Amino acid sequence: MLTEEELRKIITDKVTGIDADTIPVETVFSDVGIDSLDHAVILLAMDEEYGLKVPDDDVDQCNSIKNILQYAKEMKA
Amino acid sequence: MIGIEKITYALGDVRINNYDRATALGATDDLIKNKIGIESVRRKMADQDTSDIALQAAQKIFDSSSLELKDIECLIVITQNPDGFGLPHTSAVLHGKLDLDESVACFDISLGCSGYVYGLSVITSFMNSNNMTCGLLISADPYSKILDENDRNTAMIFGDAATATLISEQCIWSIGKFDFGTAGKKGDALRISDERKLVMNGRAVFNFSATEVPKSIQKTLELNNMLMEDVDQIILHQGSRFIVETIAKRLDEHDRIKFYAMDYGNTVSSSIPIILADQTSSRNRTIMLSGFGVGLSWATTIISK
Repeated sequence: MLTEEELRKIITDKVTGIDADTIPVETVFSDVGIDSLDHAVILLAMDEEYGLKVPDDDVDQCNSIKNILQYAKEMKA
Repeated sequence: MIGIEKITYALGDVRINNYDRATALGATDDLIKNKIGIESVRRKMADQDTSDIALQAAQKIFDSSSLELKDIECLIVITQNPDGFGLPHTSAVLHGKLDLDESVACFDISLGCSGYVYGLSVITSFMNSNNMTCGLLISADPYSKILDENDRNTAMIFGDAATATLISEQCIWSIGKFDFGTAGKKGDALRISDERKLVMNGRAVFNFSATEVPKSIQKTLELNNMLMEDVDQIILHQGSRFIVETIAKRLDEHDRIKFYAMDYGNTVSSSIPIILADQTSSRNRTIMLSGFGVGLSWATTIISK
């Protein structure tokens, strides 16, 4: 299952200018400058590296570290 | 052997500065400069149709060379926004406006952003199988006809332009082998709504581009028995700065892949030949071309001097 450490690494690696270790788990991505394009990159990496597919209808709920981890838990990815 | 002799292009006469409408469309200057990457887009004049902007590009071929109208044996137009409702085909309309000989073969190709690379294969195959030595490949797909100017996802990206590519035996570029593909189940990512406006699922287009284009580039290298170091430049369809730079990052090819369309926008099937037109006298001798988008589809090839 996708761990918090793995998710933070994806964010740091894929989003230019963002250090994911400084993002509180509950902070919504848009509040720290992660826009919809960066969000798409994060979700693509989650799919490619951990097999976690997020359908378009579920994208909005995967808007923070906490919410993505919760989503992954529910999906058992 | 036939190949590319010359390329000319015409950008839409009207320029729209995206920064001037950033607030109205809910965009930031940072988004425009660093993500979309398109600072201004072009639009054709309101009274122009597709064949008119195509005519502007084609006329430049004749104005800048010794080519004569009677030399042309075939004329192919790539468009999904034809004159009127597509009947008659835009290539026939353009044939009339150019006053070409009645012996000239004309037809349209319905493809979007992959259209130019597909078109190179179609026109050279058609010419070879019919013993032709002089043909024109036109791209002209003015999306202003279908854009919702209030939709940030599309209005700030797409621009109007047309290109003309002369295919002849006096070629500067020879054309290699192609990789083609289609992901038809994902075709809804770029479609026309019931209101006849373009609708784009940006995430789906991004995922498609980021995953399929690198694979197509690798496959095209193999088809042409080349390694990446044999290629001087990779001209990608200019979807947006974000898509182009994402593909460059995934291939770790930041020197060979650049974004060029900041001053005119994503011009669909014209995006690749606009850039290629300026490479005729460059030192780059081997260039990979990869078009991808509507369909969803892709086409990639390698051309060499």
